[in-house]
Amino acid sequence: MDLAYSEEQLLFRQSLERYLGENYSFAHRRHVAAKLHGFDPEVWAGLAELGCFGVPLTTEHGGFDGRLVTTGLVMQALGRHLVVEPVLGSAVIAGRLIARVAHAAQRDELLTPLIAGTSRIAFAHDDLGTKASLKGGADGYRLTARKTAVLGGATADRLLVSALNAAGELRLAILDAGTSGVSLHPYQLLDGSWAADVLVQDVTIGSDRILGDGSDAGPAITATLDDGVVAACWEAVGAMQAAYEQTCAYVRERRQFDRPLAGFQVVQHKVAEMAVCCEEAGAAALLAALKLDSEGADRDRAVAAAKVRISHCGRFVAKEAVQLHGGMGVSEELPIATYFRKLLTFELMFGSSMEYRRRYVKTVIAARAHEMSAVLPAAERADITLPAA
Amino acid sequence: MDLILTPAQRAFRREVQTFLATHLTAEMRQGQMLTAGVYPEPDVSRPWHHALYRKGWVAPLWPVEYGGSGWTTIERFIFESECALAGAPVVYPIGVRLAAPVILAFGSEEQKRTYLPRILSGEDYWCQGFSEPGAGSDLASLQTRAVLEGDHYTINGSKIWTTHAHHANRMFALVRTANTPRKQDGISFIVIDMQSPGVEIRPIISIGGEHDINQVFFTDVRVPPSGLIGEVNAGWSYAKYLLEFERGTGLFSSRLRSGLKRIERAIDALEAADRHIRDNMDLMARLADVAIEIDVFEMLELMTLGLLEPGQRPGPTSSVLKLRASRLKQTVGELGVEILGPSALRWQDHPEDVLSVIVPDYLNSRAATIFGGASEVQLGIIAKSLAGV
Repeated sequence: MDLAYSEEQLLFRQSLERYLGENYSFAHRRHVAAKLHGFDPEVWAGLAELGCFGVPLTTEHGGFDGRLVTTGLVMQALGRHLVVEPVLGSAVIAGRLIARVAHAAQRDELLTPLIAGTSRIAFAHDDLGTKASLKGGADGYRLTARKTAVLGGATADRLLVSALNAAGELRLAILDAGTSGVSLHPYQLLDGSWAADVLVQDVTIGSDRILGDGSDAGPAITATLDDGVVAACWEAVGAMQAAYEQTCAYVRERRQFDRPLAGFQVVQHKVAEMAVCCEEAGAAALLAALKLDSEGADRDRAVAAAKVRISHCGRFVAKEAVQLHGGMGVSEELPIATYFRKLLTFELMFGSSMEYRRRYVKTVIAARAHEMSAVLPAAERADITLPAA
Repeated sequence: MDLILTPAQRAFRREVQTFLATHLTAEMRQGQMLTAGVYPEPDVSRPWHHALYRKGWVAPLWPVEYGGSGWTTIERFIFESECALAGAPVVYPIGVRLAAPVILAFGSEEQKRTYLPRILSGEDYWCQGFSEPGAGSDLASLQTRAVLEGDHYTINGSKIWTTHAHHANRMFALVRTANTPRKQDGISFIVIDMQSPGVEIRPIISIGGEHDINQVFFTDVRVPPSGLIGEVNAGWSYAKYLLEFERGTGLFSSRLRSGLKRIERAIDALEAADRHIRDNMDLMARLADVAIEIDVFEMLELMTLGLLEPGQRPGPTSSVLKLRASRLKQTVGELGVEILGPSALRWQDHPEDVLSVIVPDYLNSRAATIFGGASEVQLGIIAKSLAGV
């Protein structure tokens, strides 16, 4: 068991924090969100140069790390600075999905430019039950799909579209965003980032544009979406911590009734509760990442616990941050309102707490796994019977 | 960074499991399961204490030369986790975990030789004399006085909420030895023989209907100067040191999980009586929420304490752990009561089984956010030391 970040991880976090501190002011962020469809090419190149897009991928797949913990450090920094660029959708979700499913030649073709920052890929999956379909055989396919809330879809050059084949199995088709018959409806999300609805109307694609060796992509999609949830958890933790720190600074500075707000015990206690929530959320995100990084772990338990708890803690921190900022908290003058919207977005994305709570009941409670440690590996228990109480 | 156990840690875990299988009796497990107070009665905890003593496992936090087990925090975490999972009695901590660290840090060689072996063997049973009728959260207001008269101190006054005073043969107490402008500067840390003439114990029945706590009166009780730990009038700093240990070294998560496990036993009992709890999705969702909170708290505890060297102080984050653990203890209790539903109304009219202990345990848990520094005190510490407000 090793509970400390490596020197390398800490240095990487430091350089990313420094880069964002120098290049991603709140004013700049506002500009990117409002005027650039959530995508600044210079920032994207800067993040690529730092190695951010290779972090979610192993060296075997051309990446630099491949662990969710290190990916988490990237996402946490992006959350702190409210970065709107589609790192989660492209580098984490599309990147890891391609790494899981594609064969070697496709991996090289797709991941090399993705890591270099010259290509952005968006994963188009959610179709609200409209059932995207892939028809045809070895000499070519016809794809029809209506996808919604595609993260990074507004500015992606490639789309990874999930669809059911005749056998009812999931396949992933890779499409250039400009392909005729593909239309995009870009829109801004609650947190300022950009997504798109994607309509694919009977587009013909070659069989080499189907990812991988032709087996069911369902399990890889499920696992990758779990990775995406955990990455989003770290981003939320970063947003919470920044909102908390800015609130601490604000209550020390802001004076009312002839003293700083921090002089009131009621304010001190609210800030302390926020600190506790940040600690808890950080622990939840770390546990989930470490579990998903290890073989054979209970993914359902780790992901569900993180999503539910970080949603709860994030909501608390966001509400108190706004409350303690008073009028400034409910305006766009300061980043606080944006942190609030970011954390609300996190709650709503990838399914609500209610859904993850149900998942925990179905998988963890039903198996009585919650009677065992969430941290220690379960498989290592000796088969020893205790005398009945 | 990972949560994977090393071969040595795995072997240790197996050794603990084997020890539990061979030394933990059905009576001990039953005794712990039916404990509704903070600590089991001595007739439950003592046999287990003796088994651990013979193995050299009573005092994980002590230096090896005094009989400590020489474990790392991770090993201690594994040990506590396995013990709680197996339903082992809680080792009575007032001597081992509270008195001993202070004696080790500030006591003389002679005091270490006198007190420590008898704490280790379980021969001495300690109680803690901190709170007074007029000094609760404002502990430094304490009035129990020790006056040096010739070759002994004479003690007059009263301590209250003293857990297991009626079982104890020794008390460590904070007493006033000087009237100083700052009230913290006139307090000393002293050991009192509970068999001394002038010590009188009055039982207090707790909210759960149990006798765990007492008021202790001192009338001209004589204590030799050898009972004074460290410097005269320096007791306040020793008390703060002790409270940090009390709050931050408990490894509460494993015991919270056994609380959850006890609720599972209660659900089994209700199901056997045709009350279909597991089909009630509202209750299952509540159960999931509590289990998730414990999962996350377990990680928080591990990452807070896991990086400490043996003997290193946990610092102000111990307040975060104390605050969360005490609230969670109550949350587990509330869940138990909710699941019992109407059967919770029957006051002390159950056969002695798991259903009889849920309500008293919940009621007694209300004290968890009061003792060892009330939640409001912890929030004050967190605001000041972590948030800097």
